Amino acid sequence: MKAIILLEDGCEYTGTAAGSQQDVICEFVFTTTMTGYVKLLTDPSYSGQGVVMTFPEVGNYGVYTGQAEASRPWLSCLIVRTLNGDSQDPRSDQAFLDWLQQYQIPVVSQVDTRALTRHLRTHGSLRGKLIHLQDGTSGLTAAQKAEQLSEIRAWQMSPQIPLVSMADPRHVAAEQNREPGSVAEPERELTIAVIDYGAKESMIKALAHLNCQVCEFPHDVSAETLLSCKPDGILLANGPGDPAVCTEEIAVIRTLLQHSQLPVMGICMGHQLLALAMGLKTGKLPFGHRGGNHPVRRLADGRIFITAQNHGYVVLPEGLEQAGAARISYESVQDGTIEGLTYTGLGRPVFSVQFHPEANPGPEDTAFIFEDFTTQIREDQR
Amino acid sequence: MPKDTSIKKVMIIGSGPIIIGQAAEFDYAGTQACRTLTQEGVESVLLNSNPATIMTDAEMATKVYLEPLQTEVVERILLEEGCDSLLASLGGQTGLNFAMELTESGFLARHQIRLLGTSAEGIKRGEDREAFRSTMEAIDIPCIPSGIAHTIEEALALAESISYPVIIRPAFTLGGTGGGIVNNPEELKEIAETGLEASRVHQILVEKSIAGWKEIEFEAVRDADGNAITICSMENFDPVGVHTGDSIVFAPALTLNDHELQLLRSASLRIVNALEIVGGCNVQFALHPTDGSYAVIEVNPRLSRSSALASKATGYPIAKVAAHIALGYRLDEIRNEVTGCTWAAAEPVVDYVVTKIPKWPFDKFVHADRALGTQMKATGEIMSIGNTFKASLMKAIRSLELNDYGLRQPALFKLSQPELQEQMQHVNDRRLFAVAEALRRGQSLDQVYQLTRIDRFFLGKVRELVLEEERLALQKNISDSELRQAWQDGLCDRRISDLTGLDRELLHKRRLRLGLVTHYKMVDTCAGEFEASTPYFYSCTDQENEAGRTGRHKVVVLGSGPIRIGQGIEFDYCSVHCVQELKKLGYEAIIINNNPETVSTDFDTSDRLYFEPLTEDDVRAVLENEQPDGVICQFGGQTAIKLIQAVSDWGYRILGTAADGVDRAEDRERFDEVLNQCRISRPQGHTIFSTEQAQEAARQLGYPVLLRPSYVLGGQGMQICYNDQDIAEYMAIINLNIQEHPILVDKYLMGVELEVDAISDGVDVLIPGIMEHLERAGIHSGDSISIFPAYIPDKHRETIIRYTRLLAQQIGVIGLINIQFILYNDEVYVLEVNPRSSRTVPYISKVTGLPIVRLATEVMLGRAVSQLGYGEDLYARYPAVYAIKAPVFSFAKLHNVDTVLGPEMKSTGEVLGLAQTYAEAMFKAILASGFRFPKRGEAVLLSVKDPDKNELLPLAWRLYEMGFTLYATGGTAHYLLRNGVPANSCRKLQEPSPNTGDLLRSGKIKLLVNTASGNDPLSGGFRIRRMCIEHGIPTITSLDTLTAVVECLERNLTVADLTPCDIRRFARLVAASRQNKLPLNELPMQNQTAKENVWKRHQTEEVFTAGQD
Repeated sequence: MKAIILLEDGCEYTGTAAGSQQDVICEFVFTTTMTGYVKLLTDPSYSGQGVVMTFPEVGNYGVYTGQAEASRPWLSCLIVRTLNGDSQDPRSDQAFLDWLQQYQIPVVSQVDTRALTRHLRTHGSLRGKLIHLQDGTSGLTAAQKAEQLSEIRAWQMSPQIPLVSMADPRHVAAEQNREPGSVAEPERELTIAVIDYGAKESMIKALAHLNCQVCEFPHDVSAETLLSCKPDGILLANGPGDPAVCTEEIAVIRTLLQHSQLPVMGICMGHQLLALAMGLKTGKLPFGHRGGNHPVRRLADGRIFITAQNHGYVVLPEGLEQAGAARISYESVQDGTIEGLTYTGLGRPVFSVQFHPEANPGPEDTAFIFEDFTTQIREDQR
Repeated sequence: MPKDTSIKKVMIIGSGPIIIGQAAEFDYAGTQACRTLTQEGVESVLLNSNPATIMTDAEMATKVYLEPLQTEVVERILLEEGCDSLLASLGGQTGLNFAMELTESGFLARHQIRLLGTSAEGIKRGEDREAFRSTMEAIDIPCIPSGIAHTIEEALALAESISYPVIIRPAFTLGGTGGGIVNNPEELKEIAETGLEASRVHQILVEKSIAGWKEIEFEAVRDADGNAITICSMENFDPVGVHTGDSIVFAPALTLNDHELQLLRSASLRIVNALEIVGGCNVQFALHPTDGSYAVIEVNPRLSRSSALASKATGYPIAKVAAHIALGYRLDEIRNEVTGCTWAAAEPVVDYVVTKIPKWPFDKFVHADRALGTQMKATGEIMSIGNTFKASLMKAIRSLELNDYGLRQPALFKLSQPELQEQMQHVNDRRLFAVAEALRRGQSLDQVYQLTRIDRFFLGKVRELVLEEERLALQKNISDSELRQAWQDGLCDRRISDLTGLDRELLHKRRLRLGLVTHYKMVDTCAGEFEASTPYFYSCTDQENEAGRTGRHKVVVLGSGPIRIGQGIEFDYCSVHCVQELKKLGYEAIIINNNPETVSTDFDTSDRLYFEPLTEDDVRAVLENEQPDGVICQFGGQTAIKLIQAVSDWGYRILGTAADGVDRAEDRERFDEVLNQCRISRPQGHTIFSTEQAQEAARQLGYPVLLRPSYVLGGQGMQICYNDQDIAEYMAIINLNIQEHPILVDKYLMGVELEVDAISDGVDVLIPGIMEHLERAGIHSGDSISIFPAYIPDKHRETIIRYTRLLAQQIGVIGLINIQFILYNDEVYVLEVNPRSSRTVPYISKVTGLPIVRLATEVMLGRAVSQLGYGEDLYARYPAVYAIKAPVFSFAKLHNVDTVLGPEMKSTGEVLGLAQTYAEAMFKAILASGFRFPKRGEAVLLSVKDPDKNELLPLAWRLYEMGFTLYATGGTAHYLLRNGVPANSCRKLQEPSPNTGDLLRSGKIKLLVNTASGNDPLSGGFRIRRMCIEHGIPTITSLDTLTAVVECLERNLTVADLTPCDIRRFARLVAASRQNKLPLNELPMQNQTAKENVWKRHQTEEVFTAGQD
């Protein structure tokens, strides 16, 4: 079956449909990530988006369900050059196409993904619709197209965080990682409260691995409820959509900052919400940073790290001094945008990064940031 | 930290001649480094003995030295030039070894010369096995259980403790020379011995075999501040066990999940940090196919073949970035020139699949052992880019220029099942096709996996392709949708036509009518994320075309494809020069090529680069896309010239000699007409098709005769035959390949070979200089020592000029022509005419200072030779200098290949010796070729065939006089003793011990002189020669070569006596003396006398019966 991707500017890209045959409207974005399609597609930050993979062969090794970042893939649809739906890898738990089908994700393959990527790069991320064509038809009539376009143009992405965030809080125990036979005094176990705006499982694992028990709360948790778990620090997680519309979430963060002295760390959406709570502004990037190859510069020493990124919005650099004496800690080597902030005027560790130190998929070069957080908490407590 | 301004003058060491394991990739790397230094305003001094390279062009560096790569020479030039720094990491293992040696000896410290890039300690930690292991242990990176042995006994003990099978790897070698997998103590003894021999530090690694694990490579770069990134992952089609240079490789890795990929990526970065790499580094891993465990196999703390591949695969110019890093720049201070808007600190991402397949020399060396293992055997490689795996693989197969353009190979149909299993189980160069055949026969992926351990993802794709080919082959027609599918899967028109039997031209038209038009995508390092302006394209079947036509006048230059014996880097040199001249003349220069190791495939060499197979359909698609004003086919060797007729038939204008002219030179009968019209003689000969005809022709001409197919390059399939049986054997071999063209039988004249390259405008010619071959006719010109200028009587010189002009006029040569003459009985014969650039063009260009390819390009675009400003006829008549080119062989890498030279080319590279005296030039050339001169007092083993014994006599005497101890085999010893030359007689190999074999093993013999006629692998001579190769004993197989060596020995020259001469100065000397009416420099007297003797002998003597003692 043929399918077309019709973009809001009227451009069409044709391909072969697989998976769910449901037509969907979404925002189309591209990612240059080359491996880890299961991790990528289960990242809740892709909720509401149609993901174009620039890497042309997808599905090669099937699906290892243990490598998922959430309980299910959250994206609206997947666009690839070549779909290797029936993996031959005996290690995999499931063939890639079966997995997509199980979660009702539509896929279009044999698309000129490079042309589509170049279009999105030039015109920015665009709204569009994946339309399945009836057998025997080769495309839309002018009238059909006009009708579809008006539907696309009328569509606004609803807030996605409520869709992907958990319903009930959960508790994840710390991992005991003591060297057997170690005589050193064991470090005290920390409790970290995580607000799930669409958190990736790897973040939770990274904390647990650092001897932290994690109390994870839904996005609409109140400051009071959160503080009731007596956390040693707060992690604001990643999530989908425009941060500026999340007024309630921002208000909660503001309360937490005002009414507690807890160290705070933000990642991606968490980084943006923290900035908004501190009075900074966010804006939309033309076509976002999505990929596993993005270099960032740590301004403290000029060191370069390759990071995994997945964001369409960015914190703007105006008014940093007034916002808790914020300092840029990391910047993008490519376009100079803010990739990390440290709020130096709050008398405790409060910092955030735009990129994904938990990787998965992507490079693990900045995994140390989680450890920085726990170390700073411990030092702060001393 | 920004550029280090204290670096003022840098020496760059090149990698020397092309040998297996060290090919054109270092020309690419060195050229990028030289350009970077020039751009950065740093003075550069380049040292490389290889004249066929772009990097040794005079304008590449402040000073260019084509001198032997010897420690003393490096030291001397460093001091004379006052260099403050040394950049060695771009010159392959050769460069790295110099860096280590000069550091360890304290030379660099003594003279306050800095080693740029990775420090000597870093290199040692990467290269020395024990240092490497302890470094890896310290950072918790698993290695494969192994140990170091310095003796056979140690190796045996280690193997016992690790348990067989184990792999033997020598330390500090290139291409894994002298290693192998062994299963028992007997095999170990044999391999360990050669391994110890091959290692510079007399060390071998005995390592647990991990056969069946995946082999994954990463290329990484790191700056001096410790910022490190990976450029590309690469996955071998074959599991570990096959040398990566001999493996089919895909980039990026395709079957690894993110966890595995990041595990290895992070490990790569930890490793480059631990080694404190400053520049580029290659890391090889073995990854268990299921349990996720891994181990590092080895690292190359320098640029390598893999970095060239990674550069071309991603567009990221690793060598250029490494050169910037060496000058002190940080990764985020170096612009990504591909996008122009990003920085070298970003890891490249790709949106296509790259396939690399090695090019092996087994079509030339039919007796060679084709098994692939830890010792590299390929001479070159091709790369292809496709936005599907299938298209990428199919393009790669086409790029190899084999008979079949696909996976379904009818030649394998007749294999029995056990034979096929055997071919799959034991890796050789044809395994991909054996796997395809098994899948075609219906074997399951699992069955094939169990035999090969090739990942099922690859096997699945191969199966889809071969079954598609099978379907097409079984039907007479093809539906539109099938045609579309086949085309999208990368099958070219010819392949579809070959399978279905449908007319190719009709298929082509039908495809275009269906709108199935080839489009082009850009290689941009960022998968389309950023706007890029690099004109680096590959074909695809998708809708959008990124290679829109410009409005400029454009010329397409066809490149030369992979490096192989007979078609080497020299053709890349020619293609690059042509492109440079076209750009200078204001044309848009477009190149098509598929060799990732070369300068021509650098994104900034041409105005547009199409990384495509050089086959008719692929070239046609580019031409249809570009609609060029002209196409140049004469610089890309046989690969390009064989496309000239087709290009011409499609209606494109050929710049230079027309297709018909080429045919008149290459088609035997038409060429005979040309010679008749010019009244030029050539050795008598006949054109034949069968063995019987050949034998009859030979008897009529009189043995010995020379047999060869028409349309050849590099003497492919040439052989001197002494009797009917030789002919029968030759015809049996040649018939293995389909012969579209007849076989030529010529009378073999044993005279002096002379060679010219000339620029012609169809009326006048300009010959830079005449070259003379040291070895008498019968040894391929590419394998001979070539001497410029030739010392021949004036009348012959004039004849050669006249013949060149006549032939160029008669054939209608516009551009370059190469002619080989033979001087026999005081008469000049024409042996061969090649209406194209030749192997000698770079060498003669450099030594005469005449930019031959540029001039030829100007002529092709309409200028007359008389307008070029260099005069006409012969440019350098009696220059007061000598430039001697010597061949370099890779016999140590190829088992079962005979080292005897003949009309079939065997050398892989060449070196140059430049000097003002003949003896010094000869000494430099022979030294640079890697030959180790024996010292007086050492022992020499002589064993020559009967016809050579008379000629050996004076040479043997001279050796004796100099104090060499002579050993000789039966007949030779007898002859020498009878004639008063004291020699020790030794028993043949097959006789009881102690015999010749024991003598060779004893290490006493420092030179073997052995001449032979046939190439019977079972003959004693063959076994002696192979033993010498394996024991690293220099071997001479021609008495002409021995004469030159004896002359050098008699002069008692040492490296300290040599005067380095930079190439500009040399060309100035030529220019100043070129108009001499008489030779002003010393004559190579002995050489001349020997030659005269040969001529005299041939006038008087009967044909000898071939014999071997």
